[in-house]
Amino acid sequence: MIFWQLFSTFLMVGSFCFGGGFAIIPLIEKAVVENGWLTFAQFADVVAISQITPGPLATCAATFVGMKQAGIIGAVVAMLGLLLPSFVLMFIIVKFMAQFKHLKWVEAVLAGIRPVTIGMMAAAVIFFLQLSTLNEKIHFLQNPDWYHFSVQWGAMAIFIGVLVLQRFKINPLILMLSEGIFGGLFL
Amino acid sequence: MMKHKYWQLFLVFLKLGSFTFGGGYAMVSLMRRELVEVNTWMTDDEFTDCLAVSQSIPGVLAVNTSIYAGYRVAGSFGAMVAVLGCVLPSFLLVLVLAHFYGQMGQFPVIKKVFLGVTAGVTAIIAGAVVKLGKNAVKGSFGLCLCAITVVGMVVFEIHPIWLILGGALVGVWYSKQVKQ
Repeated sequence: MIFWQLFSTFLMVGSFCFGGGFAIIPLIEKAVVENGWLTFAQFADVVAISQITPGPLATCAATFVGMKQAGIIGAVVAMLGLLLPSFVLMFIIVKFMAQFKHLKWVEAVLAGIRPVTIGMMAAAVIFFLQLSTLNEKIHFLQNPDWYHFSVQWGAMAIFIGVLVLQRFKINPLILMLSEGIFGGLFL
Repeated sequence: MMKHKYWQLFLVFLKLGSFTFGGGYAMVSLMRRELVEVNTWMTDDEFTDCLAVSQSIPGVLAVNTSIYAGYRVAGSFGAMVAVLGCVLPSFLLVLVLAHFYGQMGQFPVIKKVFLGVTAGVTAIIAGAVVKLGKNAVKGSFGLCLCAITVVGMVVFEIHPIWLILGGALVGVWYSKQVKQ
């Protein structure tokens, strides 16, 4: 049943969500695009929506996918799946707070996971760069001719522009507005 | 009396959930101001603890911190109230946008706007990778893990779960090596 699928999919996302919104892009993408709920382009749209709405990417994705698949109840069910691991883990930790702080292996685990989350963010950059400038995600293993692609220079210009501009402390909302306006006008 | 506190807690997190764009970390500084300074519900030390624990467990950062802070302020029910306030604005807004998403196809300019935002967001993520990477990717150990992750994800399309579990195991293994 779709409700169970939504719940269990976002339960998985919520259980492996490390490193903040951007790092979990590949995680959500695997969960949602691979099972056919969204195309990769639609997923990129969801990421864009998460930027122009308040709140983190994960909750935006859960709400959006849940709604699309099974209406408002679907959205609620997906959210519950996403939130449950946090509640369960927090409950455990609060009960055993004193011991938790001194567990050396926790630090070791996190030390291993931290570079992985950075790698995941870098992978997300590559994926979205492919999508916005090449219009598709490249499947290297399935497609031996992968190096045949055409670049959308307009999108590339926005990418490079923002890459440079973010050095100057511009209000992120203004930056986003100009990205959108530039896109609407010139792409 | 307690009801008043729950309502206050809800409103504070509703505010946090409505005004923070860009994810959990953006919400953290605003949360600190509200919880420690404006409402004096926590000390700075307690808030630092909150952040440390929230980052040490999986789960959406904004949700983790809301649960911890809500629990500290008003027990289990406080935790639920805080999370509800935090996710409600996003939930309602996205619900509406999702509903009209199908019809957006009639307005190709919206697709272009989204594409522009996507291209820009990609650049912002790239900036975050560099900024966070300086602290998070340390030495050849970190660099190796990071590189393997990128190649694994982009070329071999491995599921992130395996990479995260692998990273955790390697982290534990490495810490044992270092001790010897």
